[in-house]
Amino acid sequence: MYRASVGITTSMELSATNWIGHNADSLGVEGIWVGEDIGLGQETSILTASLLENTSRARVGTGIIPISVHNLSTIARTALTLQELGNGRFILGIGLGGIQDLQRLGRQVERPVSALRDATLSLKRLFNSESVTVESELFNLTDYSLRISQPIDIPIFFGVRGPQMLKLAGKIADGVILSGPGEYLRYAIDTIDKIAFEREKNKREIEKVVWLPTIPTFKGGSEKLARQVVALVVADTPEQVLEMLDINRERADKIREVVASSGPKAGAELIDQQFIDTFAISGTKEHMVDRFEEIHNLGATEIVLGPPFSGEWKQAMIDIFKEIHQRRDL
Amino acid sequence: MIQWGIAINLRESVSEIVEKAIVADSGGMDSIWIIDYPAVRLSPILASVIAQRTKQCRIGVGLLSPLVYPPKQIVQYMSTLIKQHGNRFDLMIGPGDRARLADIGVKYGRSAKIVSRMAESLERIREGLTVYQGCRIFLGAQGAKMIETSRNSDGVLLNYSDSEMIRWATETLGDIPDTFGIGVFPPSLVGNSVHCSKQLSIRTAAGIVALGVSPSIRTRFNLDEKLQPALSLLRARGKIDENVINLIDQSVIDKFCVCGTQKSVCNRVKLLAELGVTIVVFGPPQGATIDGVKQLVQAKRVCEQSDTNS
Repeated sequence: MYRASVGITTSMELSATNWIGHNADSLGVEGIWVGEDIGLGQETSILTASLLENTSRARVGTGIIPISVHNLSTIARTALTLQELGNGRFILGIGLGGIQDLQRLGRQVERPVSALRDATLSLKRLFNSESVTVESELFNLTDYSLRISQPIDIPIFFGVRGPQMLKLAGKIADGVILSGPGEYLRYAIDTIDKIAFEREKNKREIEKVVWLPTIPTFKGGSEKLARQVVALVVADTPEQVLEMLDINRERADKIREVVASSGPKAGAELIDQQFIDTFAISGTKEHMVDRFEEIHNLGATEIVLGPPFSGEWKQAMIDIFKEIHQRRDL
Repeated sequence: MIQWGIAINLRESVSEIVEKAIVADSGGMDSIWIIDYPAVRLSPILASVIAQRTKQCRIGVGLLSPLVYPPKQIVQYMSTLIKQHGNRFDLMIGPGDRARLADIGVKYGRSAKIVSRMAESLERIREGLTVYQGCRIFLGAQGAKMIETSRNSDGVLLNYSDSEMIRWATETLGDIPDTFGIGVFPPSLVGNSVHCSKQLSIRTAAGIVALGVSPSIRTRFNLDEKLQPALSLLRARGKIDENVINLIDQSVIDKFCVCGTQKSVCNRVKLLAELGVTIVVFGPPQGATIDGVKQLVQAKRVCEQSDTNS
């Protein structure tokens, strides 16, 4: 059985995120993931806090907070505060940040794998109530601690895609948030499991969360919006991942180029049905839940019903979760 | 009428912080300030939680340092709080503690530049919060340049309590709009069994502020000689400990704190009001315990009662 969750982003309307927070438990939503659209919309930690306050059962995680734009001490303090607030329901999802976002901000990380490794190991030591001194590409800490007397258990998940990052996740993360077509997911999950199998010390299984754009066509979802989201996903997919896929590479490169220069709206013009089927889950509720089950069979432990939310999305969400829970009851 | 605020630091658990806020709010405090400090819980999150559990008080966030949080992020913090909980929030910005910032890899830069950096950040934050008219932005200040810069904000918060120093600060401000807030945010200890000269907690809190005062302020207010022994020991040891604090004369400590019985503090607040102060935020260690919060609530009531009687 997989955990069935909802993904939201900080640029969504407050009324939408509030609705999800207020209804998650009653819908049987088992997790809520908050994606940070850097610098846009609601502030990630306050939005996450609000979701923790409005739910009592669902896990709530950041998916992800980019370590490239925040001081690591701020991320550690955010996690400490949210962990206490959620009584253990909080998960800290971190990553470098989306390719497009980082380009827009002019941020370049020379050694991304080392940066994420250093950040994760430092966070783990801080959560273990240790004092940390470290110099890394993205941050420096000197004799820094969170001033906690007892270690705190905050699972750290990675939002990553490339092969080296997946291996790093297998070595040191508690979970991974993945996104991409089925062929890629199979590869990613195998890579993580292979490394994790060798990791003897940590007994906790690495969770594999798959977050894909979902487009419920049965409730009038906007295809235009869906195409924009898929264009952004294609543009954010690393080169090595695109190479694994059976897609029109020429078109994919063109999409990346257009999104980088003119944004996802312009890129949407180039998205055809093949790209939608490859990079998103769309269709009737039955078809969508079938796809969730396929992804679960690949090894995913959690599936995230992600944006874009358009049309009668609330009713679509209600119907999809009903379908998921009905099948479980059978 | 002068407003009473209490500062709550975030070293304790979330539940204890919330409990203090509820006591302060239900006891009639005008504002609760959630202190941000680089080594403990994150103040904007706690501001959100406190807003959800309290009814009337305004909630101050800060000091948030633009050196740690870029102005755009500060705007996001405040706008999200306001959208979620309504127009109950104020903000204080300032550079923050140089040594603590160094611990987290944040460079303070040259002192001469820091004022212009704060001015620039203030401008960007104001611009970002233009649509949220009710959110007052205060600048934490001490020296003349920062006080002058605060004229571009909605108010200034000074970390001393001495009448002479406050008078000088208000003169430095010059002509300001009626709506401009002049606040003091000194270390505080209010209670009926408080012995200010013997209580290490208040002496330490005030001593830290005194030792951090800029050379120009030290000279202007003749503090050089009195602070010299403590500063020498601090330089030798590299940290502030009890021995360093014990070298600071009580007359200096008194300039940087509000301390005493409920009645004496009430008189002090009235004196501050006469100097033009519009808000007093009682800083640490007052809010460190639930009892401290209750004592302050009681002091405010005593003060209001005496106003009614007179």
